[in-house]
Amino acid sequence: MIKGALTFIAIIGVTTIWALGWTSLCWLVGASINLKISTSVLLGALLGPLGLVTVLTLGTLERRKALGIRDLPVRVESRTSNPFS
Amino acid sequence: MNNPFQNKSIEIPRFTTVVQSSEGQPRILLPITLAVMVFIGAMMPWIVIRPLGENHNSFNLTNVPGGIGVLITVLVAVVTSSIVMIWRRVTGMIMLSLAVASLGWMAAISGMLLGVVSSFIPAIEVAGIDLSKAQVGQGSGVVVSVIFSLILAFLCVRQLEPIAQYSPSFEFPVIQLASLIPMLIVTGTVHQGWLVLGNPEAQWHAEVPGDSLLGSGILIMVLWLGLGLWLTSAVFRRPIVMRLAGSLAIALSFVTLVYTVLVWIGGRALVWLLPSSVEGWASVNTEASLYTTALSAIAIGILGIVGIVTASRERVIRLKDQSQFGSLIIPTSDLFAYILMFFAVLWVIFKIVAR
Repeated sequence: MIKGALTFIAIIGVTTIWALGWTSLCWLVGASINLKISTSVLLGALLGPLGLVTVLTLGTLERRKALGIRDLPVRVESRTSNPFS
Repeated sequence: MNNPFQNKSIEIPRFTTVVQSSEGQPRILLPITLAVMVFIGAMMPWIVIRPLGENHNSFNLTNVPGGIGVLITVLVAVVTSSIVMIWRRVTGMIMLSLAVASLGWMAAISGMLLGVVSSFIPAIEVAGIDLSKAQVGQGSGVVVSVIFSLILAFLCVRQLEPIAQYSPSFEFPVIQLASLIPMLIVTGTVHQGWLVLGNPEAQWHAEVPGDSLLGSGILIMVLWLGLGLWLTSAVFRRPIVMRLAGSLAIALSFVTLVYTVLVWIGGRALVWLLPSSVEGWASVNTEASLYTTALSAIAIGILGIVGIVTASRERVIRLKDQSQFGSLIIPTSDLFAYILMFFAVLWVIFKIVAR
């Protein structure tokens, strides 16, 4: 019983530390590139390390936009309609 | 813009939530189904122990003391989030995603801890290969849990500003979609036996999976990063992101291919060096997963090149809001959920039959 309770606390604790760690990191990086705090925090909490990659990508795109570099959306060459219909 | 994941019956809320959706509210069934899939992943093997010459033993969260408690806690969080979703769709969806992401992270952390566990096993050197590293491996449940929690997370982050500006409509870019398939295959095959030393029918045999090789930890990490970058490029839809994902895919493909070729050459060399099949023990068999990994690596590389070349003019599969089957009209989002449910039911039936 005690072993189970301690393991439960350990698993939840490690996962919380992991999530909080990535959230904090994304928050710090996001704040340094002027991203919305809620966006950076949620990206870190939901995506972990990939959230950091997404924050950096988003930061790069936003910075390029601020510098006047236009990252045009991809031009759709061909569209296939709904494969389920 | 056309969004098949939009629930037409619900209007954009006037209240301010943590996030603001740019294009209506997501539907409720798909996020819940994705959460169920993460739970199914948690029931599948997370850690596989391969003792020499014996059957595989697999473990997951339910085998750990307190593991059931963890699952029940997450389940309570999922049910609460689902109830919140009825009134505040995006907020509930983010809560749901956070709940199941914790399961995904537990799976990922268990995979990372494997390196620590295997370091405690004394080295067993056979022809220069340390078989101790091959005795502990990651199970398929980790891939299932992490992938479905990531998909749900990406569905959520699409609702965030300013990401919503970069991802205005829900179309499936063909290259990104196609690239994910070989990458997902490699995430599975890298944990399976590439070489089998000895005969599986004999008393002693040992498997050498891809994850037991030197530097494979970094390779697996970059593989997940590559997967994430393709998913990111599917959300952001900007040529620069696509080129970044494509470049990483090419590098990843090259390294994975080198690994498989070296293992294949090593296996051939062992066959040549070892005395010819002493009681079946000295045999070296190259497994199908090695060839599958090599072919997938080639596909990743080719798709990476195609991705870079066609970064600014891509092909997409555009989904309609709903699909019609005779007189039955099903929203596309729900259709995806039904397909996933079908596979979930198949898995349950398989588990019952195999028991």
